[in-house]
Amino acid sequence: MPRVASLSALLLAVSCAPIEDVREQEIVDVVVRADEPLLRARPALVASKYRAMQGSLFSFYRGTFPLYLHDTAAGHVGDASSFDVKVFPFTIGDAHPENFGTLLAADGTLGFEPNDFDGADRYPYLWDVRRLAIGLVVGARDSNPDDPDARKVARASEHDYAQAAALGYAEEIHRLARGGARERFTAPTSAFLIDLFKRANKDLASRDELAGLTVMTNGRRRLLRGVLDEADPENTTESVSDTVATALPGTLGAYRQTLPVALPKAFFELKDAAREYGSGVASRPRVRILLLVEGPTTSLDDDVILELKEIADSGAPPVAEPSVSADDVGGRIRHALESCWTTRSAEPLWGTSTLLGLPVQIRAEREAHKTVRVARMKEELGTPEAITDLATELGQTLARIHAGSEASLPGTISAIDLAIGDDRAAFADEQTAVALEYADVVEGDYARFRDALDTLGPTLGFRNDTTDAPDADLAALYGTPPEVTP
Amino acid sequence: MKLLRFRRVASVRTSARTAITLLACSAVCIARDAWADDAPPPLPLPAALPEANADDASVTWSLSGGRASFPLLDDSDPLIVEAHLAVFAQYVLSIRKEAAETEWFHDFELPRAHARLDASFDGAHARVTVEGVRSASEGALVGVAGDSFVLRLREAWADYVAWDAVELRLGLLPTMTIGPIEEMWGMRMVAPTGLERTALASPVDLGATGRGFLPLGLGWVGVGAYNGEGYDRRELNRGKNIEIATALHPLSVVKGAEPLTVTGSYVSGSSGIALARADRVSVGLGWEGDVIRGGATLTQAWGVADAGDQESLLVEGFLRVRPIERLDLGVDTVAWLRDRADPDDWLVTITGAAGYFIVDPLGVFLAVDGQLFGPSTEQALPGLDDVRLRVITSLQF
Repeated sequence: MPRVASLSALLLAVSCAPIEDVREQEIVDVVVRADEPLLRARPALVASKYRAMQGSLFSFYRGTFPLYLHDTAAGHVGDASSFDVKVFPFTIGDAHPENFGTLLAADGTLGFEPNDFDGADRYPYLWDVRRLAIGLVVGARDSNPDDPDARKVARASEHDYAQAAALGYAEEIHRLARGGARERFTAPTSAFLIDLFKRANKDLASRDELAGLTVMTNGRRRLLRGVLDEADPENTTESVSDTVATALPGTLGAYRQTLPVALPKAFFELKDAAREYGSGVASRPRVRILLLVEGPTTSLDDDVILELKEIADSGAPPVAEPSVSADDVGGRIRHALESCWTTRSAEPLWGTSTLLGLPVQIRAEREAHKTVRVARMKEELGTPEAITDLATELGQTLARIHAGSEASLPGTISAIDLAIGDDRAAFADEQTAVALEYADVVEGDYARFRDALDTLGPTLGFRNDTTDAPDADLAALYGTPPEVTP
Repeated sequence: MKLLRFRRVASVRTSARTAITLLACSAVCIARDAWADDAPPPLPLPAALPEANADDASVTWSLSGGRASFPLLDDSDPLIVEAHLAVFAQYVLSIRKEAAETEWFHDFELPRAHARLDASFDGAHARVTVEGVRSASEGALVGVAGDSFVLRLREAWADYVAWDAVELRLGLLPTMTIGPIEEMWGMRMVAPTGLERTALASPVDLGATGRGFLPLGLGWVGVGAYNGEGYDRRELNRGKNIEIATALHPLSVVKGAEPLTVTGSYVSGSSGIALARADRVSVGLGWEGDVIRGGATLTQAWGVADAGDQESLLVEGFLRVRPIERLDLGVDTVAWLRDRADPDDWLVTITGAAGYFIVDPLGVFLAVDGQLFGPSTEQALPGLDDVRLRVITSLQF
């Protein structure tokens, strides 16, 4: 037995935890588990994601949807709800404010819709509502970046944002349950979204994406290479490998078949392609390629830029039978487009395909596609009134997303309405309390995450195994992000 | 080797059949128990068959009941190679209340498909077990060829038993806590232990174990060191889980009281890259008779699912009765207080089952699972069923 004890002591000695704080350990473990396949194959890209998450409180929140799901499944996001949670619409899952924005529909008009389906799947409706409400509180805490006093004012009213989101959601569900139309959101009333639509319409006319992302060389239009935004040195492009370039026409051909409108093959004639780095937060390690295609005519002025992005599993825990919601990842995304948008034509160029075996989605890259940005919560758009009004409209939009499940899951709207009941204010009060409490957790977690990165290094101490290294073609597909000087 | 045969000897003693019937039943029970075990399995015993072969110089090899015996060297014990199969298949009707309505779903499942190869030569033994699993974890869409069943390694270990008293084992091997509990209940085909279902412990891990077998059939005491991430994940940290475990038959020398069993284990563990605490203490008391098997276990966990400061308590009680030959009746109750800091975070699962072995290797079971949840658990795990009705077939060679 003394030998056994000695062995145990030895093994324990070499297993001293690198960080002592148990919540910090939990954060690191959950984040690394969620990213483990990516960490093994493309650690540098994951490191760039962690740097992005380190950049701001809201970026951290954006990058930690797996942690939110983990905490929810552990019962650590608020106390037990008074409202029935067992209604499972097909929804976007990661319903934070920066996953909504304007999209250009097939009829040439802009609408406000969800614009990220990486986590789309079946979830309890309440998890979505809380994710949104918490996101608004966290966003307000990150608002007015250059004006501490304004931020203080915005933060003082954070209760109102969560309340407005939950109440906006509940009232809209009730309206829809009583037979109200699930209309496309085209006429915002909040200052924030009015500004968003205004800027989107301006860029729609000018097609700024062509000016911002391409150059004319010898009478040919090409995508830019190098740093796209001086303010963000990690957002860069480079040429794709020959292997990828050869595969892309086939990818586009299959993608064309998944679109809701029939467009000629010539529309998708590939003119250039560039691997993009440093875009997004949670999906930053995923392959992202900008594609320049011919567009409606051979004119250089109507060329179209598409964004190809690798997609993967949602990470959603199974909540209802059947436990998977689609046959494959592309099918999940296509179902999300049908279900979560008020019309499938909300963005007619959004489809799916595969690239060298990777499931991918392809969508139009337009300056008119404006996403809600917490960084825009400043000056007149960062006041309590502006954020409250935005919260209401986001809550309403989320309700319309959930209502989209009515087609495939009949009874969803009435079930949610029944679960919320007549006292919608009480529903909002409960979600507000949860949002405020969990936003404090997020703020603490953010500090812990930064500390963990400092302590453990850029990949949170994950030890790479050389046998996991991808082969040359795959490595070329993944790419190597630019080195960034801290 | 005699010391390791306690359970089988006890089984023989408690049966009233003729010697031939006893031997046949014992052989079946041995095979069945071996499969019920996910942890320290009985050693692959070179029993009567190889010895008979060794006595018959004209026989160079034999194949009987999945056992092949190959005398390798003159005057040596032969190499024994055994092949086994185990398949549990079930039809499941799930019923749950969602919102104000009752939802149901039904499907066919394959909880277990194992193929096992054992080899032994003198004191050396080895085992390789492959199992069929879905290629993507539940809820995921990315798998092999859709979500096909694929084969993966379940066990792959080698051991050596010295002086019939000390066993050292290395490889992908059973941990030592779950197996003895499964054996106490004896109805693995109906459900895994609560420890396994709640993921508070893994039945198999990469590591090494050492066991010492006590005299007089008193049982064993073991110590193990494992990666600690189970058998479906790679090691993420330098910490190694240390397990100290025992399964004792304290009254092994008292006629009629041999089946009394006491189990206990302590695991000092960690999980994840940040070495979140994952310590476990588990104790159990049971009876491993032929007609009646049952017992109760209690497990306290410090650190659950990467939350190092979360404490969890699991209590399980189970009973299997064999009123007549081939007929098994069983009940199992698992009460899990998921987070001791939240009295509303609990889950109780009650399983009742009845089964009949049509032929020795083939049993058909009907099982009903009922689940009760605390308010917090119901919202944290909203996908749990209220009731499940199952028809299970169990085939084990």
